[in-house]
Amino acid sequence: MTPDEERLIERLFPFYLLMDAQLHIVQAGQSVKKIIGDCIDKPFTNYFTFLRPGLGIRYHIDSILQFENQIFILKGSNGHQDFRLKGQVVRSDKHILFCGSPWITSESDFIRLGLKVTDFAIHDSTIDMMQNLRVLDLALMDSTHVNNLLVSKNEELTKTNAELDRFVYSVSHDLRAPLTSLLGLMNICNETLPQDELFIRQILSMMQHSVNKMDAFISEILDYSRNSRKEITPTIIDFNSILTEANESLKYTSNVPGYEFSVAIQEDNVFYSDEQRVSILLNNLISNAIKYLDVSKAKSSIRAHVHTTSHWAKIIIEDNGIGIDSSHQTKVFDMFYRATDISTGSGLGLYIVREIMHKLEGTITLESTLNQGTSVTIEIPNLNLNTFAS
Amino acid sequence: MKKYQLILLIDDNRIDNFIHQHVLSKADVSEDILIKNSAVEALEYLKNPDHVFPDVIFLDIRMPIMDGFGFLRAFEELPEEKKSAVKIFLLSSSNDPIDVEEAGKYKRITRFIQKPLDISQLSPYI
Repeated sequence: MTPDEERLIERLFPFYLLMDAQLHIVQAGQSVKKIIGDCIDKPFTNYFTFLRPGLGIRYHIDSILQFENQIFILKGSNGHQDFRLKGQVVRSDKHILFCGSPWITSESDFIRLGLKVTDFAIHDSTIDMMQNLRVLDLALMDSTHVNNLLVSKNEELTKTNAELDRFVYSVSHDLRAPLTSLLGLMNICNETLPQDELFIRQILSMMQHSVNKMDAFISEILDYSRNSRKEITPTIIDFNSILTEANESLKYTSNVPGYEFSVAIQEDNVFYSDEQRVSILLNNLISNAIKYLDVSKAKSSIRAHVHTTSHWAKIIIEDNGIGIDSSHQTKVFDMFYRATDISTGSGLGLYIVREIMHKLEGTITLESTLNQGTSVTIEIPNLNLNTFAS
Repeated sequence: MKKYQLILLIDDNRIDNFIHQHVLSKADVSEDILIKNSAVEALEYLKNPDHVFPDVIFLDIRMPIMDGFGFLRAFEELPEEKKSAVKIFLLSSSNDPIDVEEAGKYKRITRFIQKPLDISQLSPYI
């Protein structure tokens, strides 16, 4: 071979072997020499045996060349390491040229034989395969890493949520405890004061009003925080008792003018949902209806209609109160939004209603005409066994 | 002759004890009202056989060392003939569902009441 040919062969087949007619190695690629050491002028059979072709081949140049168009697998040894080379033989003058590359089945073979990527030809299928394996391996390592990260983040979040729950619970209690004490003391004052102490009674009443307002606000924050965290637990919903209780507890809270409250229920199917959330929903809607009654009307009324089926409940809370100006109607569900200056609330009520509807996967629509009244319609899915089965 | 011999108030909040004492005295249902500032003190009192056993107990939930539920568990250890006639009202400033749910587990509780105590809340029961 000319030096040019030799360089070309070296680059294409770094594991080549060139043998003379007596099967002595006369030239060898750098990479094969790396494995078996200096093998020049030594017999091929010192290092190699044929694994393929297996039958009929003899260690003789003419015999070997009869298998020129077949795949050869050579089993090599340098005395302490075994390895395999896969390739073909070609005739070259009076020599035999073996062109191939190591048959490597795992990455550990590289390490064992002390081979590097640069020991291979620029385009060697072995390297391609190993690199694919390596990429897969890296991707696997990455996904394992990401997975572990997710697991630990998730644990962290669960812990934080639990801590927040405890925090909200104890803060709410600690905030409300002194308020309820204050309310109790004010009640005593009110009862004890002589009838003619009008001015002090007025002041007491204002104090009670402030404390009640703060208490209601804390309760709303609690409702909001509970809705965002607590799991939905479906039970049978008794709309009549929830609506009646809501009305009973609300009608005495502030100086409310008289109004007529009616409930009409058509229960085609037993309705299952999260009782606490349904209760918060209806309390908020009835509370709004009461708060925004129109005192100029001869007769105020609040009507609740409920219709349940196996799939949903449709609830309409209707009043003939002051109504909501159309320009405010889209915003009343926003956090801290208050549509009227006579509002005494925190602006959280309908926001909580919307958040609960979101959680229960229901819908809410509001129709209102200023000075005529408001009608809120909510539809919530029936969380009966059918829902869970589907 | 008043309806009850003794009402026992258990609350670590002295102001609330004052309020409850005032409200109950005004309602005039009991000869005596006894105040204990912790569940432990109350239990000590109840365990002594020489003491008058209360007819009604007002019990706060949130208290340090032993809370209302801890008291209820310890209360079960007392002799049946004494405790069976007692009405227990659980008082709390929170209507937290966790507490309401927990309270549901104790059959001996007559009623869960949210503070502030108002005599109208009690009229059906005492």
